[in-house]
Order: sequence, then C-alpha cells, then structure tokens
Amino acid sequence: MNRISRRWRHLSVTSMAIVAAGALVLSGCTPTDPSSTSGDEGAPVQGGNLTIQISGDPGGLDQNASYSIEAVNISELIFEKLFALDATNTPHPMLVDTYDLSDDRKTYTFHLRDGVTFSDGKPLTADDVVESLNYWLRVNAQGKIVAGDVESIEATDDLTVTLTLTKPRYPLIVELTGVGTGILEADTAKGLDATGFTQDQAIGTGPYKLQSWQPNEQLVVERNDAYSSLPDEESGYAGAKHAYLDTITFKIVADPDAVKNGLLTGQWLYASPTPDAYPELKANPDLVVHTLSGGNLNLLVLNHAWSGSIFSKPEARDALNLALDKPGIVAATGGSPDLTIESAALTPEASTIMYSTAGDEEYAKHDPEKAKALFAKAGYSDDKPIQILTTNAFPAFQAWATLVQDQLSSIGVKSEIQAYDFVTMLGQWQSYPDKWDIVPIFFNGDFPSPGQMNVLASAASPATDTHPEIADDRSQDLIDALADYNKVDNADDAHAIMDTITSIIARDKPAIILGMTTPYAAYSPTLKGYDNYWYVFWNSWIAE
Amino acid sequence: MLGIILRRLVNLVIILFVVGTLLFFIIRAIPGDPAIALLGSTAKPEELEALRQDLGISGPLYLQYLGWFGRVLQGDFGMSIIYDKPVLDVIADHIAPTLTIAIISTLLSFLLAVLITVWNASSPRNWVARALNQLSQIGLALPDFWLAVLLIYLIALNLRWVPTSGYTDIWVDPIASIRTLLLPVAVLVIGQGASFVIVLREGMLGQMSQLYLRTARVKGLSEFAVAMRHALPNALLPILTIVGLNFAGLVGGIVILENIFVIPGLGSMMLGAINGRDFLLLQGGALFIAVLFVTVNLITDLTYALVDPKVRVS
Repeated sequence: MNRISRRWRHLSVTSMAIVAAGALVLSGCTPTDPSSTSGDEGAPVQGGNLTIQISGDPGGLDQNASYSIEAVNISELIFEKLFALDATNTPHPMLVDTYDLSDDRKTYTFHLRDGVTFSDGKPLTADDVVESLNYWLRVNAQGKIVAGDVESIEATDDLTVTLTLTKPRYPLIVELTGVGTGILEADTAKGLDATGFTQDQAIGTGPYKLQSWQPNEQLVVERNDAYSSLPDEESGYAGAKHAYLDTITFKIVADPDAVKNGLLTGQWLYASPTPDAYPELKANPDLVVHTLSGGNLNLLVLNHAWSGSIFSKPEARDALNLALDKPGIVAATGGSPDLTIESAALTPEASTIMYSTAGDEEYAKHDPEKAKALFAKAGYSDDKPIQILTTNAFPAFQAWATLVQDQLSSIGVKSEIQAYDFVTMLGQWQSYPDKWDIVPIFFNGDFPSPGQMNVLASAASPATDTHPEIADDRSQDLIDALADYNKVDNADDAHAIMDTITSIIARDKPAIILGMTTPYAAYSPTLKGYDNYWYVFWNSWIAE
Repeated sequence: MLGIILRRLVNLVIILFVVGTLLFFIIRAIPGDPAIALLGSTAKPEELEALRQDLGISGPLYLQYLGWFGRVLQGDFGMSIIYDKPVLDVIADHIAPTLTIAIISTLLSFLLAVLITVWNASSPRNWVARALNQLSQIGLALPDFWLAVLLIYLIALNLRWVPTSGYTDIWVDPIASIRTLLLPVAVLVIGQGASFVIVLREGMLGQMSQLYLRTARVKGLSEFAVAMRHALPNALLPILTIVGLNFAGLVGGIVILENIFVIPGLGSMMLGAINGRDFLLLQGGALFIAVLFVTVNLITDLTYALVDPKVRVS
C-alpha cells in the first residue's frame, strides 16, 4: 500500500488550528469544572444512538497524523493508552496493570493488563505497546521531544514492557497519556510514517470501534462488544468505561446557524456552537450549556528568530505587549466572560502543576505611550509596516489581527494584514519567515509537560528543521528550566519550575499571550452520565 | 440534426482540452502546499518532499501536466487525497444531491414560470395573476442566503415542519428526502422562477399581440388556450438558454446553500478540495462541471432546434 492510499484522512479547515499547533494534547485535558451537570441522572439506559455535531471532518483517527480536535477526541473512544488522566489530572493505569520504577528513575517496567483484546479479537501484547510507542517517538512532534531521553523500549515477555531512559524524566507517565500514545496493533504501528494508518487499520482496545465514515458528512462508532472495562470508579478519562450507547454518530456541520438550529430542533443532541451563541443558548431552559475541560491559549506568535523582523529586537516585543489591550482583544471574540480568562497562564487553572500566574504582572501592562517610544527605540519605520499573517478560516484570528492593527495604528505604528485561507497561511508561516511579523493563533492549553508546548518549544529550540536560514536564538534560561523540570521528582518542585518558565516567557516574549478561552458544549438534558470531558461518552446514555 | 450533434461533440473535445489545460495551471498557481496541509507545520522538509512525490506534485510543472493529462485520456483522474478514493467515484458520490436539487428546482421553476406567465397573458386584468407577476420582481431581488435563513426560521424552527438541515437520498427514503429538500428547493425556485417569469413574460406579451393569433381567436379558442398552445411555443426560445445556463450554474455553484443546509453536494466537495489542496479532485471536479456546462449547452441548442424549425433549416 503506497503512501497516497494511506492518506484517507481529510483536512478540515475548521479543525486545523491545531494542525498548525501540531501539539494538541486533549487527552491531557483537565476539567474547568468537572462536576456533572445533573444531580438526578437516573439509572443508565443501555442502547440507542447519540448524534453529536462536530465542526469539521476528523481527517483521520491517527493522533500522530491528524491533530484536529475532532480527530483527537473521537479517537479516544477507539484507542486506549497505557495511562489515562482522572478528574484531578492524575495519571491512572489504563492498559497497564502495574508498573515499577528503578531507583535511578531511568527504567520503567510496565506490566500490562491480562485479557485485553483489540476490537478485532487479537489479544494485547507487549509487542503492540513497543511498536506503538516507537511510532509515537518516531513521528509525533511531542514524541520526538521525549525520544531524546529514551534509550530503549523492549518487550521482556508477552505482557511486560521495559522502557529505559538515558536520564530521569519527571513527566514521562503524564506524557504517556498525551496525544499519539494510543496503542495500535504491532503490525499496524510497525513502519508507519507521518501520514498515519488507514481507515481499516483503525483498530484499538477502546469501548467503541469505527463503524462507518463518509468524509465531510458523518462518522459512526459502535460499541466494541469485546471491550474489557476496568472495575475502577470512572473519573475523567480514567476508570470504568461502560459503553451504554449502541452507536455514536458524529455529524459534520460547520455552518454556525445550522449547528444552533439543529440543536434547537433535536437533529443532534450535542453540539459545539461558536462562542457568540453562548449567551442565547445559556438562556434556553431546554438545553444544558456547560464549559468543557481544557482551554485554548490565545496568542500572537512573534517572528523573534528572523533578524529581518522588528520583533527580533526585545524592545519591539516589549513595545507590542505595552501597546495592546490584551483582555479586550480576547473579550471581543470570547462570547461571554464565562468563556474568557484574563491571565498569562499557559495552561488552565485545573492543571495544578502547570498552572502559573507568574507572567500576569507583565500581562497586565498596557501603556501605549511607552510602547510608542519603545517601537522608536527598536528602529520602527513607516517604510516597513508590521506584517500580520492570518487566515479567514478562523474568524477569531482575523478579528484579533484587526484589533491589533487598530491598536498599533492608535500609536502611529503601521501594519498590514495578510489574510489567506488556512493552508496558504500555514505555508507562508512555515516557508517564508520574511513575509510575516505576527501570527495570531490559538494552541491547546493542555499539555503533559512544558517541553511539549509549542510556544516554549519554539522559544527553546531553533526551527532549523523547517527554517534553516533562521539564526539560533534559543533562550538558554528556558532550555535550563525545561531540563530542570525533567529532573525533579515531585509536584511541588515541578510547579516551582513552571513559575520560572512562565516568567521567562513573559520576559522574553517569543509570543504575546492574549489570554485563555474555555470551550463549551450545549446539549439536550436527556443526555445523561456526561461529565463535560469533550467526547468522553463511554459512560453516557440517553434518558428514556 | 446529426450534423449539429457531431459538430458540437468535436467542439466539446476541443473545449475540454483547453479548459482542462487552463484548469491544471490555474489550480497549481493557487498558493498553499498540499504536503503542509496534510502533515502540518511541524513536518520536516524531507517528509514534505517525500509526500509531494507521492502526490505527484513534485518536479517540473509541465511533466506533472503531461502525466495527469495522459492518465485522464485513459479515464484515470487519479486518487483524491481527502477521500482516498478515485476522483470519479468521489464525484459520483456527490453528484446525486446536487443534481437532485438542480433538476427539481429547475423543473418547478420552469413550470411555475409558464403557469404564471400564461395566466397573466391570458387574463391581464386578473389581480392575482398581476400580483404574482409583480412578486417575481421581489423574488428576483431576494438573496438566496437571506431567503434560506428566513425559511429555516419560519418553517423549520418555528413550525417544525421540516428539519433545519441535512440531506437524505431520495431512493433511500423518499419521504425524508422530500422533507430535507423542501427548503433548499423552495429557495432556488423563488429566485429562479422569478427570473424565468420576467423573461418569459416579455416574450409572451410580444407574442400575444402578433397577428398570427387572430385565427386562433376567431376559431373560438379561449385566451388561455391561445396563450398556451400558440403563443407559448414561440415565447419559449429566449428562456431555454437561460434555463440551460441556470441549470449548469446550479450544478456547479450552490456552495452557499449546500453549506447552509448541510448538503453533501458537488459545491461542498469542491470547497473541501480547495481548502485541503486536493489538486486531483479539484481538477477532476472542475473538469466535470465544465463537461456539464458544455453538455447542457448542447442539449439547449438541440432543444432550440426541436422547438424552432428555422434553427434546423439553418
């Protein structure tokens, strides 16, 4: 099978902000408010179909090849990982029964659960785990970061895997809950490249399996009758998975009005409408409207690494920070104060170890006059307007670009907006560093370790793979802090280092943090057993 | 008649060659790299280049063109990278919704226009007929997308008679299909029907004052029969071209309505192909629409010949 025929996944513009990020870590999501929305759920009902609206085609179910929100979340129903995060963001064994860590914290021995089978009936073995993790380390952007510390992964017997590191890595277990760490059959994972696996290879150990898929129309998963659930209490992504529903149908509907109308008329029981619909839907007594786990980190990526950009100069980065009313920019597109967070924190508050407000003082600064002086000091000239690269595929990005332009204009700084479709924007961003100075975008704010976060990764390492012409401007402070994070052995020390990391980002400004937005969903009150964890529907049912 | 068909078929081949060639180079001129679209911004240059070679978009453009054209001549339009299926299969999957809507709405618009104009021509003082005639001006002025939103609000959201969006194949479930087709077809019929009425009315009024109708009236035929049997065939000629062009336009260009009503038709397919830089699907789809345009024009011309003997003679 050649590479083209493997490429069955489809790009959906609506879902592609995360492609740009290349680092969606939704499986590491932490809840904004993980409480269930109903105190009287009643007895679970077995059977039925739940219709879900999604905004874009998943493009694939391979988390190492398709980073869209839809791809990552739907594949969580089909594939399982060695560990899964519970409602408190703590990793719990999922496919692992127990594990041992050597005294030097370099050797992990994973004992797999006996009796777990894939949806095609094949038993889970250590070979499957070895090949799947090797695939993740080989292909996934975050896996490649971890790979630098991995000496070997071996199957020591049918149900035992030994992972040996070259040096201790504190977040490893959490990283094994990250995107792309799902366990595939060994024959599938072996030799896979960045284009991912085929539709007929989408076979996992999860509570659901793929039934059918018409790209751009709908995707249906059905209960995996061979599923072997943990007896543990269900929590977040961890614990028991009951699979009450016979099928779950994901209808691909992008038009915001169609999304809302279909929800109001019962065409789908669950939808992810746009932020501007939040107040109206929240006021509707016939719907449950609730924020979801996780959050989007909204930011302006600055071209700090190319000497031709004004933002290669620290004064210009400081000037931009001072010029912008950052909370105002996010609020303009946030839909409701319920959905926006004014902070320079890099991750949602519920992510207790990673959450830090150490950058908030810098975030709060807003002094347009001082900004004007700093831009002058940085050598700003009207002859070279600041180039803002954006896409019309995401209204929020374009709105932020316009607001930035407006606020720069108020201090006499000229800028030009280049708006393209998403693919063209990606190409411009990646291939032409001389064409842009600012890129407004959001990344997922949940990540299992700071080294895996894009904004930090780009500041800590030169993008020499893709931009060999860009000078190495790595922040040694940041490199040291990220290394220190991996060395710790407890949550308190890790949190202290996150304060340092957040401060360095606020100081060096490889990007200007605009604030965080919280995703939300609106659904019928008949949907029960749902705890607002994206597409975690394996313990949900439809009330009769 | 056979001569007309043969001449037009030769023209069809030439047109398709020119259109296909232009399409290839125009589509390749669109900025945006399919390899980046597929692998994301973090992909390495060697990974991107390997994928470009797999996709057949690496190397000199003229070689890519020759390769593509050679395969097209053999009936191979290539594989869609979005759907992982042959391009022709993907087009076949998406043509049904679009054709269904285009055929039904064109037929209904045409019938409606004929009824209104014949009625109006035969009963010029009837206030209902005159009102319908005037309403056609309003129908023409209403933007499709606005009308769609209005109908969804009134009929789907408030009255709950039909679903707000979706599509069901007419052969799978006719009742459900009619329910999903009602609103998009209504939107198109209002717009199209209005333009047909305006054009046809001009022709009908012109014909109704012609001397050749005197015999028909002397025979004792009613004004309706005079209009229907004698004036209408002569008034139809100008509208046939418009019907043909409108139909072809519908097949290739109801992207906005397909989006609003979530219909998986050709428009949505083409939009997805553009966004995903699925070059082969885009080229195949555009070529298919070009074929459809030319074919519809041919059918229109043949219909002209059928309706008007003078065309056959010339």
